[in-house]
Amino acid sequence: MTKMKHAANPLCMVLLILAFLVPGTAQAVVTVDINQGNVDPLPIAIPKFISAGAADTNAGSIEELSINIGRIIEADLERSGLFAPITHDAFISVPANSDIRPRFANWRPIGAQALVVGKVTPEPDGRISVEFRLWDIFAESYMTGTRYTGTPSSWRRLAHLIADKIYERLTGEKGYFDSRIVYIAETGPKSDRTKRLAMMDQDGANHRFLSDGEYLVLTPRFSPNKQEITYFSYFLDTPRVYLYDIDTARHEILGEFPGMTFAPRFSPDGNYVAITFAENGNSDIYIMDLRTRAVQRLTTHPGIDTSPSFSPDGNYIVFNSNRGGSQQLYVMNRDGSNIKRISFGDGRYATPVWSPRGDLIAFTKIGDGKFRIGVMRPSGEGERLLTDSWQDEGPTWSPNGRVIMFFRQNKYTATGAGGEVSIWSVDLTGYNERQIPTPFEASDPAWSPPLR
Amino acid sequence: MGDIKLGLMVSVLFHAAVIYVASVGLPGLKRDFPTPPRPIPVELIDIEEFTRQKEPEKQAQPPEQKTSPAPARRLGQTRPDDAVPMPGATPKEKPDQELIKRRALIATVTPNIKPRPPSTFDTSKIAALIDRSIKETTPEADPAREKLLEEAVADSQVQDIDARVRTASYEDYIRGKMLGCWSVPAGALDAADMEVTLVFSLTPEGKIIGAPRIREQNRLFRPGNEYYKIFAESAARAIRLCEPYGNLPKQYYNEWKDWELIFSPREMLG
Repeated sequence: MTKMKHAANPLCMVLLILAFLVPGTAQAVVTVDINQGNVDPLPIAIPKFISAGAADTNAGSIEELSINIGRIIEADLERSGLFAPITHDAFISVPANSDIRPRFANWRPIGAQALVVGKVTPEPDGRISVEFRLWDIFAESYMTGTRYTGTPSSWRRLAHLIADKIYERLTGEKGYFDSRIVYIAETGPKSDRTKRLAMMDQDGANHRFLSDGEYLVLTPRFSPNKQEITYFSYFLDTPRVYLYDIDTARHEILGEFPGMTFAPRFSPDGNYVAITFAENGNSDIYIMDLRTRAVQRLTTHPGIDTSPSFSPDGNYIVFNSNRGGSQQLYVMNRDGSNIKRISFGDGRYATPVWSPRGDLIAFTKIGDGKFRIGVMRPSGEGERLLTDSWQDEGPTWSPNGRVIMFFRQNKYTATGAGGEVSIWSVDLTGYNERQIPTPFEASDPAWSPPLR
Repeated sequence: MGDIKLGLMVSVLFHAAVIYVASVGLPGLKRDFPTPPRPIPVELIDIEEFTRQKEPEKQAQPPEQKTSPAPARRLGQTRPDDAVPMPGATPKEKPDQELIKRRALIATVTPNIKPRPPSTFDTSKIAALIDRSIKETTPEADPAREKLLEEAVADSQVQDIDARVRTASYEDYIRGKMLGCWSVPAGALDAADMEVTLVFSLTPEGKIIGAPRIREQNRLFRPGNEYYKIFAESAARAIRLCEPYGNLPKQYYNEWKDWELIFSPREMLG
C-alpha cells in the first residue's frame, strides 16, 4: 500500500510540473492587466410591467399599478447613481410575455446591459402578485427573479423590494430601497420654529408626522432591528432622551437621569442605547441596557464627550470630545477602555457615525467656514470629504453602508432670507448628490434598517 | 522504509528541479535573450563615441559568454575528461561534429571576443546589472543550452522587437477598449482587492468565439464569494460590450487570437 503511495507521488509531481509548464509554453495568448474601467451607471431597460388582468383595486387598476410599479423601480435604481434606466421611447419592442426568454437582439442596439421583465397579476383574494425576471443582455442569461404578493395598497413596497433584488444582484450588496427615514419637519418663521418628528419612505413617499410639534424634537435615531425611534425632546421643559414605538405610538422617557440627556444612539443589537448625560456642565457618555434599564458610565473626562456611535459588531464606540483641546473623534472599547484619538486633520469633527458595514466612519467636519460631510476609516486613515456646500451636517448611513443622508442649510442672504434646511443624500463616491423631496423643510434625518 | 521514502523524495525533488530548470529556465532564456540587444541601440545613439566599444561587447555578450568560454575549455581540457567515461570509441565522431559546429559559431562571433579583454571590468558588471538572467544561467554548461543559444542567436532580433511592439499595441488597444466598456462595480466593500481572469478567443474579424471564460470557475460558487461572481460578470459583460475588436491587424491574427485579461480595479480604487 505504502509503495503504491510512493509511486503515486512522483507521478503527481511530474504532472504538477507539466501543468505548471503549460501556460509558459502557450505564448500566443495576449495577457493584459485591466486596471481601469469606468463607474458610469449601468444602462438598464425596465419596460412597463405586463398587466395580467383587468381588475380594479383600491390603489388603482392593475394596468395603472403595472405602470407605477415599473416607475418606482426605475426611480429607485436611478437615484442610487449606479443605474441608468433607458427611456421607453428607445425600446424597439416591448415584451408581451414574462415567461419566455426575451429577444436579446432587440435590447443590445439600444445599449441595455440588463433587462427587467415583470408582470402584475390580480389574485382571487383581492391581493396582487408582482413578479419579475432580470436578464443579462450580453451574456443572454437569466440572473434572478422573484414573485411577491401583497395588498394593492402596498404596491410601493412591492416595487421597492423588487428594486432591492435587482440592486443586490447587480452590485453584490443589499439594496436599501425598502427602508424609511425619520427626520425633523420644520415649519414656521426662523424665530419660532415648530419642529416635528416625521417619517417617510426613503424616496419621500408616505409622509406622516409622529409628534404634534408642541415640543421641540431633535436627533431621532432608528433602532437597528425594531420599529423604535429614540430622540431628544424638550418635553415639559426638561431636555431628555425619549423612546418611541412606531407600532404602538408610545413615547417613553429613557432613564432616570437627574439632568439633561442627549445624542442617543442604539447599539447594533438594539438592546442598548448610548447617550450623553450632562451634569454640572460636564458631558460624559453612558450606555443603558433597554431590558434592565441599568446604566453604565463609559467616560469620566472633564472635557465634553458626546455623539457616541457603536461599531456594527458592537465592540467599539466612536464619539467626539474636546479633551485634546479641539473637538476631535475618538474610538474606545464598549466598556469605555482604550480611548484613542482617530481624527488629526485641520478643523473640528462632530457627529461621527459608524457605517453599518464597518469600513468607514462618517462625520461632520467643521472648518474653512463650512460644515462638510466626510468619511474616514475607523483607524483614522483615508479621510475624504464627500460634500462641499455651506452647511452640511448630521450624517446617517443607508442600511447597506453605501449612501449617506444628511441635512443642508442654505446660506443666509444679506436681507436675512435663506437659511432653509433640506435633506440630501450622497454616495461614497461623492458624485451622486441628490435632494430628498420633503413636504416641509427638513433636518436631522435618520435612516431605518430594512423593513423586512 | 524511511530511507526509501527519503531517497524517493530526494530523487523526486532532484528530477523535478532538473525538469523545471530545463523546461522553464531555458525557454525563459530564449525569451529573455532578445532583450539585451534592445537597450543597446538606444545607448548607441545617445553616447556614440563612448559606447563604440561597449556596443559590440554588450551585443555580443549573450552569444559570447555562452559560446566562447565554454567551448574554449572543452577544446583544451574538458573534452578528454568527458571522453573518459564514454565507454565506446564511436563517441569521438559526434564530439567532432559538435566541435566543428562550435568552431563555426565561434568564428562567426570572433569580432566580439576581441573587445572583451579591455572592458572586462565595467561591462561585465554592467551586464550583470542589466540582465541577471544571463548571468545566472551562464555558470551551467549544458549542451542543450548551447543549442538553444544557437537558436537564440539565429533568431532575428528585429522581428522579435516588432512582435513586442505589436504586442504592446494590442495591450494598449484592449486597455483602451475596456476603459469604455467595463463598468466597475466599485462601491463594494472589497472591490479594491478583487481580481478575476477571463480568457477568450477572437475570430479574424474580431468577434468573440463562444463566450469569455472565467479562470477560477470554482470560486464563483463558493459561499461568501457572491461579490466575486458579480465582479466577474461585470468583466465578462465588458468583453462582450466591446465586441467587435475590429482594429487588429489581420496579418498577425495568430498573435492576437487568444486573450487573457486580468481585471482588477486596484488602481482605480486604491
